[in-house]
Amino acid sequence: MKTHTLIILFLGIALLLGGWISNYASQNPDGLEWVAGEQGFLEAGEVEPAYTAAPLPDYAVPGMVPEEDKPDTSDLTWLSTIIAGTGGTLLVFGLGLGLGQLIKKPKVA
Amino acid sequence: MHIPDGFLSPPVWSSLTGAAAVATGISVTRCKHTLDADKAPLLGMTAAFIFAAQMLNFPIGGGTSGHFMGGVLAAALLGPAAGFLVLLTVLIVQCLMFADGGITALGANVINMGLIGSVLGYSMYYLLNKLTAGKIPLVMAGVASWFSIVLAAGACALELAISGTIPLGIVLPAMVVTHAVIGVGEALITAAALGLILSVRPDLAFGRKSEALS
Repeated sequence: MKTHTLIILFLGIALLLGGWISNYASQNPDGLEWVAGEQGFLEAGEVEPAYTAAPLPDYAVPGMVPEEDKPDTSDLTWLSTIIAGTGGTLLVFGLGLGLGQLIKKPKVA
Repeated sequence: MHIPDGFLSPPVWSSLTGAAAVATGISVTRCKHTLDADKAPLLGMTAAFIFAAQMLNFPIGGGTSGHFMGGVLAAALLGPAAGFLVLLTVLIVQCLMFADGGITALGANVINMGLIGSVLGYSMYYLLNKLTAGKIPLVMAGVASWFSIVLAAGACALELAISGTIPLGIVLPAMVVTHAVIGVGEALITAAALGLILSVRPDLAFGRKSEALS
């Protein structure tokens, strides 16, 4: 298989996983979060974050997912996850491609 | 196991940020000597796959979930230095775009998942393959990736303990046991993804001389 065919195949798999299958991901806390909850240090993380400019916090489009203080928001969680997963996968793909060009072995002249 | 802000003390997170910066510099230099131009575009594919797979939390019982990390997968394809930089890219995007992992803990997350995941993970993959004469590379990739998760979890526990967040004797066993289970998922995904890629392109195993590519 040619390299670019493989890349397109895997980008397709990644978009399917990140953009669609991610809607079926477990909502349970992950290993670290769970341990933090069990052992009572989860509140240590309840600090004012130093950086608050993330456009899609928690892989969601703000305003598309109902929140506790705004329960009336129409539930577009599905679409929100598709946008976050697809956008993130494409962004990381582009950055990886660019990074590869920046750090590859220079051609011997 | 993305550490949020507030879990680590300033001396711990700032030292780990410095360590991550040094590791980044070394990795870039190393790639300039070892990363074949033909393989460079694979960084995009690998980063995209790891990012997407990290979104897929799978339940491990007891109300807990785990997700893929990808350090050994990236290193088995691209080598440890490029693998580290792929994980770095994924972690920066997760932090800056999705608020997954605190910005103060970014260095710690890069050390745990990038350095331990890719660089230490690759060392284990390499040694295990030597021991088995390269006969069962996918099994060894699985075993190395299991260890990479457990060791990353151990490092995370150590960082929390040094920060004074929780005593080591309490957090270490909990993190290691939880991630010993998550590591089984890591091993299966690593072996499956690497197996799929190497079945169509056996020459892409890192360290194997590439054939002429299109």
